[in-house]
Amino acid sequence: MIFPSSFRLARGAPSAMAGDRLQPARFWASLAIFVLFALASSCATSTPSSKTSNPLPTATAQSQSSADSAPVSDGDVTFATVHGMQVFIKRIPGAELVSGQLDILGGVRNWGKEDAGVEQLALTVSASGGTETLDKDAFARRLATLGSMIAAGAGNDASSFRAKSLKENWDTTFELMVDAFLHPGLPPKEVELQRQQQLSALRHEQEDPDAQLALIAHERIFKNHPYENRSIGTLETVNKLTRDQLRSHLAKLRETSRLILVVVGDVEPDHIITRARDLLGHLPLGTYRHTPMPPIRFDHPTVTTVAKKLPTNYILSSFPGPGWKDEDFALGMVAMTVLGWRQWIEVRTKRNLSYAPSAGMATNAEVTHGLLYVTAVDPNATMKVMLDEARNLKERPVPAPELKGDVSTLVTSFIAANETTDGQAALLARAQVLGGDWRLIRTLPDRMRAVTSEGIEQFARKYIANLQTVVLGDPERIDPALFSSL
Amino acid sequence: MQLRFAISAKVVISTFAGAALAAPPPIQTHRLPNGLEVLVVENQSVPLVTIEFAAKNGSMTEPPSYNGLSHLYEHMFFKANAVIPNQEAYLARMRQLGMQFNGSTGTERVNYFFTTTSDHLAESMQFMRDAIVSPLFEPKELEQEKQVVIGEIDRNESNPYYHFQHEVSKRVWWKYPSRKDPLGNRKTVLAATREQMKTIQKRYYIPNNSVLVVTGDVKAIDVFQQTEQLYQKWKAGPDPFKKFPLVHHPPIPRSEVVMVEQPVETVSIELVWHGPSTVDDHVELTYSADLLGYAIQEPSSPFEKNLVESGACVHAAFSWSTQMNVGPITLGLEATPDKVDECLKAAIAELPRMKSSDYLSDEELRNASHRLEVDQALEREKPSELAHVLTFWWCSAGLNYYLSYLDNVKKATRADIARFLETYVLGKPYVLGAMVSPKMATELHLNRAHFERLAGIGERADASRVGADKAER
Repeated sequence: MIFPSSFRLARGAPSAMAGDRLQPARFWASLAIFVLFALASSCATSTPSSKTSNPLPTATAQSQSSADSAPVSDGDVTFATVHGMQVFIKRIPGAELVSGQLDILGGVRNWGKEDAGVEQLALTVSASGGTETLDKDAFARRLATLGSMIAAGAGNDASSFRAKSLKENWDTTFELMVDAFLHPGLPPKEVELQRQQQLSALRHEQEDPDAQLALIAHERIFKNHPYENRSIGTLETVNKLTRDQLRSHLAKLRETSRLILVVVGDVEPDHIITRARDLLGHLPLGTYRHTPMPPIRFDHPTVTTVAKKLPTNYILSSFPGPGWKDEDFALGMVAMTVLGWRQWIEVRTKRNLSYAPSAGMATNAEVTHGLLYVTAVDPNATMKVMLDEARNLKERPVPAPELKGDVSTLVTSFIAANETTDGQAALLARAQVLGGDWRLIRTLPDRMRAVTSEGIEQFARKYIANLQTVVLGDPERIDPALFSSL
Repeated sequence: MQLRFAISAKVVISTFAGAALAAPPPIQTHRLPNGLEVLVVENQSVPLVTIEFAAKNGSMTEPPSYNGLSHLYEHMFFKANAVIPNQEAYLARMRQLGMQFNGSTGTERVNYFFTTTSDHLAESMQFMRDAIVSPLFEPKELEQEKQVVIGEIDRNESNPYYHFQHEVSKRVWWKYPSRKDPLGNRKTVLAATREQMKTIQKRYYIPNNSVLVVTGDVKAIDVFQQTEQLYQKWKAGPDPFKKFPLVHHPPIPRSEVVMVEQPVETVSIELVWHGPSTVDDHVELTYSADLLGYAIQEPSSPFEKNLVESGACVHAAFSWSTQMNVGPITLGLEATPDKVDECLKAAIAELPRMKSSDYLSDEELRNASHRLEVDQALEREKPSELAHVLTFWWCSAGLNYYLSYLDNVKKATRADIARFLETYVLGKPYVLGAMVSPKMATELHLNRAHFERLAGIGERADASRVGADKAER
């Protein structure tokens, strides 16, 4: 493989495995990603919104009212509120499949240090354990007969149920998904099964160097931040969770003020809104109000080295990035793409120091961060080149052809992320949840195309500083002064 | 010229009998006089086009002295050619064309793909052509790229699961391990020469051993016209598999256990058998293998209930890998250290049950083939990935196999499943791999003897046999 499959930061290259095994497609696999491109995307085919007469409300505004709003269309997206729940429908005529995502707002705000992992376990058991009226087997058989998929998981800022089905099976699939959310069976055996799988995922993080590096970096940059309590929890917290805790936690989530429903496919918006009202409109409004996440800040660069005997060294540097609704967001994406290409050329092509240099932004959370990543047997020589390129970005203009080309590659990635209905649903929801306005996705390509060389220099000077670097490998090979020089 | 395309281009539509799904977009095919097969799937949902080239190459073609060189070749594809002077210029051109790109090397396929906006179709087709037909393998670039590939090997060797798979694979394909090891090794990569790259090019990168797939916002007729023009001077070569036939992987002589100690937190176990091939006399059993694999991955299946829901294993999976030259059948298990015995015993006890006539209900079999059908719809939904799917099947099974695949899976019966299990699994020699941490091996006595007892494997294997005098040189 010419590109590594993990930390594909800069170019968003399609995933391809070195092995030959052809795995069945699993739609949620595309959502479990770490980095920029598949997370922040835009649909180039959507209708421009330049003549919108009814500006659509933001998540914050909507969550405070229990009144239903009449559907408002903006291009191919229709929006309505149903008893405080926000509903977005994107119609794609002719689409064979329909995808839906029910986001539950709150994320880390919903749990603490002692019960981290509770929402993840509660949701996975809900999605897999059957309901009060359909036991686990009956629920699974029903999905199998339909050929539909339902999954659930927790995140830093929101959790979600996700469903995908053939167009003609959407109504039934949606009913099953809502049933799993509102009336899960939570059989004790399933709680134990899913607990073991969550614990297994935590253990595997310690085995794979990339996962371990990401975990160390997360602990470093989100120390004393709410994101510190990861949705997956810890071995200790997940082991202690009880079925009663899961049940009471889920009950807290069933309020319309914290729900966002997105459906994408060849569907009638009015029908989707009616079904949403029928199945979820009776829930209490609740009192959920969005509270902004505190930013992360660092006043000096640091390097944290964790010794591990490996054939190479894994290195990840992070810095706080602009948020979704920040004016610098598109700027950051373009700047880090330019930097990613340059790292490839300078580190790999010219000096063959690494197979896997890259740069990008992690935009899957309200609090974003930029990243430089590399694996290298000569970490000092490699990191010097990486940091020099980051400095160059602050001081030298990006030639116009280079900038134009890099924006084009980014736009291609965005469109590719919108090939599927679930991709479009995830991105629309993400813009709404993390930026408070789904249209941030629609306008993103134009905002990226408008980025200038001067803007990139400003971004680099403003953001690429006080890097928080973590290394997994041989501490003897790391020059702390070099690694903490930017 | 135009007329010729209209005559020679074929539209092939796979039949989905009784399906609730919409008719899939046709795969339009066109074979050039030099043998290059061109497949086009039109999909105008987004303004993107994916151009993918694949050759029947990879580790199946690699004797030990070439092991890993299909992969090194894949890297060299993205470097200098007759039109592009070096990799910097190559990357600059890709950025200019707004491309996403990658390549991969497997056991039976090497593929390369570019995805870009559809307004760049013609330039991208040309760019792909230049890389296919005229790589230069500049000595300086080759030496540099060897170090990059070594970096990739470093990363693989940093992952415990690489070592696990590698050690198991060496035993399963004991006579010809290099033929199933696409990554290869440092020694052969570092010793690779420009002449070896040219040998691979001359032998396998010929039109009659290759496929070009274009998916997305295109018109097939335009693609066919362009390929006629672009590839008319690309000369066919002798069928590489006539002069250099695939090896015959001899059966696993007897069941054996291979232990791998790595810094892991859980226990991984694999039982691997030799399975059918897509081109041999038992091709019909490949469909029953896949039907079984799909049926038992459902959460309500007896396999899941007995192995996972029972609490014995954390994960369990059973599958056959689609391959032209002996696809492995793998029973993969994950267990917590305290439940290793329970998990493995449950798995071994499950195997004979799987052939019984009441193991899977009619409904479960129907649902399995429907799942497969929906999975194909999911593949179609993403044209950029559909290109990878098509080249995979083209190389490892052939287009006809793919087009009739669903119908054949639907025809598979319980008796076919039982025959598949009896032919390849039940009572047949296998390799049992177990990966544990050194601490588990010491404190919990999770050693070779323990697993041999659990699996009822009496005779200790002689590890020195592997890769020694009987192996291919």
